Amino acid sequence: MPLNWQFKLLYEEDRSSSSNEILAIGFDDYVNPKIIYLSRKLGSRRKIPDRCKNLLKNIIRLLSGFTIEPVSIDKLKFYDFIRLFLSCSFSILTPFRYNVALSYSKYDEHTRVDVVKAIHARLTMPVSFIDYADLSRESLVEIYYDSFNELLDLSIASLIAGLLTSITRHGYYIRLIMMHTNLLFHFYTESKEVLDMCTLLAYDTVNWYAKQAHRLCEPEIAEYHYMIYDPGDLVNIKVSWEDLKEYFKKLTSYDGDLGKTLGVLLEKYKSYNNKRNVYKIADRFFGRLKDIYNTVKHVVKNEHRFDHVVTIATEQWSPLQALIIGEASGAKEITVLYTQNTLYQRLYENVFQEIISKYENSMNKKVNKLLHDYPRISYTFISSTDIEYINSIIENVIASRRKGDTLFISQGPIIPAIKLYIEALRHGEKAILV
Amino acid sequence: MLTGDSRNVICRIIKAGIFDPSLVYTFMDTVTEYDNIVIVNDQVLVIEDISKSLEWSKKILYKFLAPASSVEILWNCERVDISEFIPGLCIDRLSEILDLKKSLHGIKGCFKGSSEEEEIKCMEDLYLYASELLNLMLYSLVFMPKRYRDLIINDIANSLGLELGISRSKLMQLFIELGKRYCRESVLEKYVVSSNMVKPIEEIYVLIPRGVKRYRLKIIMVLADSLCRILSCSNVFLLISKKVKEKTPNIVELCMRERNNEKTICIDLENEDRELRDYVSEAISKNRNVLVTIMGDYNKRSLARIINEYRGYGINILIVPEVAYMPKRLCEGSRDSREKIVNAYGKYLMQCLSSYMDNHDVFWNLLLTKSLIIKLQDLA
Repeated sequence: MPLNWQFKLLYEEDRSSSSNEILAIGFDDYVNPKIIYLSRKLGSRRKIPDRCKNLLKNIIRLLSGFTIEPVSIDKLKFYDFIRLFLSCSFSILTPFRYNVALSYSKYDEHTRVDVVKAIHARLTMPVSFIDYADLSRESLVEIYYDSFNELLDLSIASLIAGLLTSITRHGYYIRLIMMHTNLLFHFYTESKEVLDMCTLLAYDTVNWYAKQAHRLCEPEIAEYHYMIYDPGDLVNIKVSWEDLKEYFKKLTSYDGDLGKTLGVLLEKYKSYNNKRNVYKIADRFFGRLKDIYNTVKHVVKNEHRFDHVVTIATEQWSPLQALIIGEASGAKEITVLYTQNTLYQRLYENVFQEIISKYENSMNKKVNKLLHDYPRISYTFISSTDIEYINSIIENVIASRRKGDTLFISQGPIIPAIKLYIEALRHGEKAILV
Repeated sequence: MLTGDSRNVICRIIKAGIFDPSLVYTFMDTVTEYDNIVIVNDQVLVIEDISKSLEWSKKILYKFLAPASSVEILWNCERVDISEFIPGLCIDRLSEILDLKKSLHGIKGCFKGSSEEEEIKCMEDLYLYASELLNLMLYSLVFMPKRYRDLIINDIANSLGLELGISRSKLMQLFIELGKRYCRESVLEKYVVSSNMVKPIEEIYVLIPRGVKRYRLKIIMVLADSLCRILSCSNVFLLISKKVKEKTPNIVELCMRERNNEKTICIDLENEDRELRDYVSEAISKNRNVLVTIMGDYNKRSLARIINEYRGYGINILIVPEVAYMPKRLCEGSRDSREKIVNAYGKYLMQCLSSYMDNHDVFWNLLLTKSLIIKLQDLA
């Protein structure tokens, strides 16, 4: 069966060449994992890693579940990259699963020691091989990598991680937060590439991921039992690429808060009879954020703006959620309590913060606006089951806030969420349970 | 060779059971258990005790966990030599390789700095009172690069309100603080909770969460029955909302079929919020003390309504997690010193609690170390 390419990252300098892919992602059916093709140009000889080392660094960080911090990535050789990508899929601690594919390449000289080593490795490692005819077919999204900045690097890395998640509960939410982050980037950068990436991740979730999840049966499906929506349910919702892209495109045509825009657009699509499926999908992906925005906004309307928010990270905790809470509450600082279940989200948001902070003196107006709008975030570790520990942390958090200035948004794991809500009420603070 | 105050530069964590942090909702078994994690100047070395010939296979497991960032592992081959089965570095005794012969007590425990027995007891206390913190810390020590481990250490210190000095190892400061907070002699006695705390309860309302099917329903009934027996209640109402039925259409029939006594009543709620409040209001109007029990999870907006409408009334809310990490000795009785010391106990903690049905104080003590109880009366 021929491969369906979804995403290709192409090398700008080789625009005229017939094979200028740096990497590509595709699939051949709805049963086996995705395939990531890695170009032989990865490695020091052609200096591609040097040009896109931040991108590759972020890809490895995200795919390894932050178990690898790849420094000096530009010094790695091709087979180092293969081993890194293989190990991230292979590890049972990462929420990703994919197969690695290489192209066949003909070596004229096969007595050179490094060639012998490479040939032997490709015969013994669990990698697939594809031929150039297969590789040359077009993909849904193709991005030429030339002078990309770090924001777009993180956006691409997030797309790649999102496309390669495993069909686990954790995998689904990682996919969702990658989608949320790309939506945020799209809103602030209005980049054509990010618009395509937003569309692709949403389209892939409905058309590939949902099919994979839908074929699961007990006991593998047990992870989805307590989810509000079972990802497999999306399988019956048909939506075209054009309709999804149009939806994302419209996001940038509204002024004001991103949270408000999400809500307005969802309401609009709800009223369109011929776009019901787009609405259903968008509501699944962004409905929770809209609800948080509206609930907080309602409180602010009746009270006053808050300087500070204390909340609990859910599996949907992402830079987008942080931004929306900041927009709705007016708070410039958020204290986030997180459990070990949301460790990935906590570390991912930290990478985001680190990258946007590099743009502090940037002349780019859009990025400056993002920096201005984005709240300062600090993290505190909490448990979902250890009552003694939960009690002491929540007492400390409430005691450390100035009375009346803080909004407590209780969500996520039920024991700390209820405890935070109750204690905030007991201390006469404004609290919501969502 | 290591020099200086060994208490500050080297210590060991004994019998570290590590769970996958991303699986809190499904709390699977440990992903790995290490006999000794030795911390040397903030770096990590695992020393595994080989007691059975089969244990060479552990080495393969470790490769699967995080193949690219495998921690260094040495093998303590007192009983069996691992290198007979697979290449591995055996050491006869921990002290030989670490040149600690001059130290009086060898490598001290990280938390109490004391004997192996006391350190294991401290680990058990930590698994009882701060299990997820301990797990995340162990996970970050073994599987994460320094950059992310430091973030986690700072988050934990921030949670505990600790100012970590920079002149000493932050990790060691944290270990000592955790030992002080959770491994005091009196800690177990301090939190013994008498069953009188929630007595007298006349009715128990169990809010069935979405996603419950036959297996979980049966377990919920077992726990609800046990609570009712211990509290001498008159009835248990299992409240099944429309949303639960959407996901498990035959849940009401299942409930009727599976209930095993007359006290248990299955209620089919058509309008969840209104009917739930009707039940609670009726109980209050008759001056009944009720216990609303949440098993695993529940719609938070519905809970917010109950909390806000019934502040100051005799409503108690008990939230029981489906699974929690608990010390094996407390849940399964005697401990074999060679075995692991922690397990994930499921069935809404009944896997651990079932052996304490005749000892109500211990039952409540264990239940309330992992379950939240709220008295709305105190929230006037």
